[in-house]
Amino acid sequence: MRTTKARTRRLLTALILPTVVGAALVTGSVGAGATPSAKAPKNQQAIVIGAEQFPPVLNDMTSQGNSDWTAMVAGPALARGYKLLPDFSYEPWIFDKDCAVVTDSPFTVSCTIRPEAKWSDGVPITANDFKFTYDTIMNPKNDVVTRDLYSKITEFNVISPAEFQMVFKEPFAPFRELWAGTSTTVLPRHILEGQNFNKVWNNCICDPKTKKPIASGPMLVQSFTPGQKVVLVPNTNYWGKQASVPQVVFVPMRDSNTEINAFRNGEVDMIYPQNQIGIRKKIESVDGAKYTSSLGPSWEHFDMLSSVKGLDDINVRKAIATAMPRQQIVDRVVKDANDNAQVLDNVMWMVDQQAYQPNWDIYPHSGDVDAANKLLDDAGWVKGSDGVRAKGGVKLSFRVGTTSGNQARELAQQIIQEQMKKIGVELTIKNSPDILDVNLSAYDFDTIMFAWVGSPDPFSNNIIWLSGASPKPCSKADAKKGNCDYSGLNYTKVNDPQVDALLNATDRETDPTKRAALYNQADARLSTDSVTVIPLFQKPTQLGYKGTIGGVVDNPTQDGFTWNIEDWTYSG
Amino acid sequence: MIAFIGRRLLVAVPVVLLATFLLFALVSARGDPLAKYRHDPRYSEQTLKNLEHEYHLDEPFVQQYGDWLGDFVQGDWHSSFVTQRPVSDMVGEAVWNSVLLIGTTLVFAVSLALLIGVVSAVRRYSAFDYLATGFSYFGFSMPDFFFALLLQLFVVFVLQDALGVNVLYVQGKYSVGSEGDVVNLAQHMVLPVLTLMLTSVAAWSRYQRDSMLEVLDADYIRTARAKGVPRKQIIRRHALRNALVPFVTVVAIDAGVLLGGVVVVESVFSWPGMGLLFYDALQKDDYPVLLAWMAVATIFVVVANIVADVLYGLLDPRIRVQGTRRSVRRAERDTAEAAVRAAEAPA
Repeated sequence: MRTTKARTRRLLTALILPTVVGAALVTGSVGAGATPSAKAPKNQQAIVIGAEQFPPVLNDMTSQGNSDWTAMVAGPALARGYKLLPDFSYEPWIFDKDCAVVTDSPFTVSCTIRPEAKWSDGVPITANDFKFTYDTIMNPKNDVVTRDLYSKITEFNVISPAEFQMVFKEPFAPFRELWAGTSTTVLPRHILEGQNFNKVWNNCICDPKTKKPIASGPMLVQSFTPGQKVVLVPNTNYWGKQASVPQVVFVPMRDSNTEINAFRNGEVDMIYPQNQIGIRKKIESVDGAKYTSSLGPSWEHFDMLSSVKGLDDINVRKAIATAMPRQQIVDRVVKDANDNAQVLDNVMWMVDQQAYQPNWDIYPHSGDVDAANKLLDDAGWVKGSDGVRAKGGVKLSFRVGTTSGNQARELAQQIIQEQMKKIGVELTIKNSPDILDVNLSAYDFDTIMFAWVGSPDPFSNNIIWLSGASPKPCSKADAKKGNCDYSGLNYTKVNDPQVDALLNATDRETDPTKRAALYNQADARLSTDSVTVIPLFQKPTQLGYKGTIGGVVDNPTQDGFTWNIEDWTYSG
Repeated sequence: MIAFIGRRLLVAVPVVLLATFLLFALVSARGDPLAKYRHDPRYSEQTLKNLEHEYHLDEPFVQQYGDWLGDFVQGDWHSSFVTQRPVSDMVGEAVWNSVLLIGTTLVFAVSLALLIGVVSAVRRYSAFDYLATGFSYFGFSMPDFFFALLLQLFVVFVLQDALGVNVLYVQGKYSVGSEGDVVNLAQHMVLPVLTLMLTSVAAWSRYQRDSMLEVLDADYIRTARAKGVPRKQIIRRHALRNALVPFVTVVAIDAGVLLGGVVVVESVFSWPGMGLLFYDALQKDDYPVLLAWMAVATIFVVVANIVADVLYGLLDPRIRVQGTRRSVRRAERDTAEAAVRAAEAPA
């Protein structure tokens, strides 16, 4: 009898224990997960935004924090010298007017600050804050995202609290870029002096001594819970227009399907997913939802390595460009997201920019198969029994690669593959997830498709085209270890002294019209004498939001869709 | 019993050491942990050197492991490459969320699997049994991520349309502004828990069914029937109890395996637990987080196995007294007597 009772006890223990433990865990975990804000009343007025790449840290200037999403999350708290507008122009923000070139030799630029500009604690924003920011960036102990542009400055002089001057080694036309874009925010000297810059703003944008949030923009970062949420509230001491939305909360979205489902389910009010085919329809199918899309400075292209046998003949590259069905690609891949999408005909300027000239329209948008065949026939490339052209034992058979899993690029690849068959060029698709990290730097590709992330000023793209900017060949093994030369991006081996001369002149030319003309000349030359990169289209952004949110205007530049958060309204 | 648990714990130590060494070797075999950062122009030479030193990457492999293990045991789990937060804090926060998810799944999955298994066995070849078999096939063949998406679509397109309000949520742990609200938490947990339960219930219910059928065919059950013991009592007191022994063991072992399952489920539902932490760390090559995660996962699985052993020992005396011939003989005698007594138990 004793044994039966004991056994029953054991069995009950075995069954009940997990239940009790489970219940205890639930209770314990709820308690453990509850933050001080847990008892706060439910705020129906918060705009909740799903963030695909939730910022790991808040300091966008550090290498860990620098990303588009950090810029969009923390950007509204930190004003810059200039605001980048959706039309890619610069609008003075902290500056009271456009910075001016004071002398050409030495090249000196003067910037002046709005008298009303101040930090949220009431301390004025002065030239000393800009000098402190410059010193912070140049301090080698600090882990900043880039100091390339700032290293061109030889002297940084504070003329008065409202004015500073930068003296450059040589004329430097894109000087506005130094104080525009979210990774060049202005730092508060009175708050950060003497602090460890690499860590001080990882988990807050605040005064590290008092932990109180600090801001120069329309919003304050009220709280940051790593991996869970960032809460922005209006900066009531903002010197510009006051924000009217009481709270903006960013929450992480790891899965793109979940992101759209959370939007449909009303769990998030706004989403900004990466370009995906079909997502527009999903957003628009939600009751009361609004959809908007912009064409940004990032652009997709088809690259040909000019040292590959077959592709080393410019006639082959021109024939491929001539047959390239760019309009079909735009219609099938991009039009779904953006009605205004069109074929990109310039590798320096984007379609909506004033300086844009359609230099690449010498290649028909729909792809001219007959003209391409004639080019190849004339160049002596003869079709074999398998339909693939050959000359001197070299067949026009190439690999075409891109990042596997990128639906839009994979579709474009298939369209191109079919079209190239018609001109006797065989393309074999070879995609891999790390093709851009490994194969590109190892020059282990024939043709490849990816996007360059541009900026409103094309100066940062010079290293794609300068002949001296072709990285040294790097083995796959070294590429995997990261032991490669990453000083340039000229992976297709463009080598044209005339292009070099034109691009080098752009840095020195401060007249915007003449400078734009130089870029266009370089672009035209690339379209006729190099033809290693065929521009396809600008990548569209996709923004979905509830109709109850007003004032939203997408901005495809680095400033992102939160650039005018002070204009947003929310009616629940 | 204490000696038995002590023996199991002693055996677990070298198992954990060996497992962590192998995992450390596997993570190291992925190549230079800093490779991704070396060609990133945002990382200066000095930053990379500091990282190498901080994470002992400038040392030989075995020494790296020794230093890492030493630091790990002392609670210094280093800082994340990405967030620069102490890894112990990150794992500490995530582990509770996963334990909550796994714990809840276990409670519901065990109950449901038991119910299905017992009823299927008792009503063998009935409509319910066939239905349960069909469900098991469905559960086995349905990938977690796909089932998760189906559930999301059901909530978005069916449930919300029918009710007009949000009853269940498709992502996160709490809604904004409802942190700490248990009801809101439960509404967020339903879909991930259901997804995790699917495979477990499918497997465990089949296991329980087989186990029950085996017991129901045993001689002592036949004897009990012959003696006129009521059917319900036979099932509840004699058959179920004996059939539970292997079931409990399997559940305890599978609890460790569930930690692997949460990687997909937490990623799909943005649940801030260990699975999501692993997924993020893997994507971003966050070496210190990966190592700590694997070590914690190893300990979790080993503990689950120890729990399985202990439960088995609790339920079957032969196991816990294993080691001496006398005690084995005594255990065998006890078990045999217990089985006979169970069969002879009065109605």
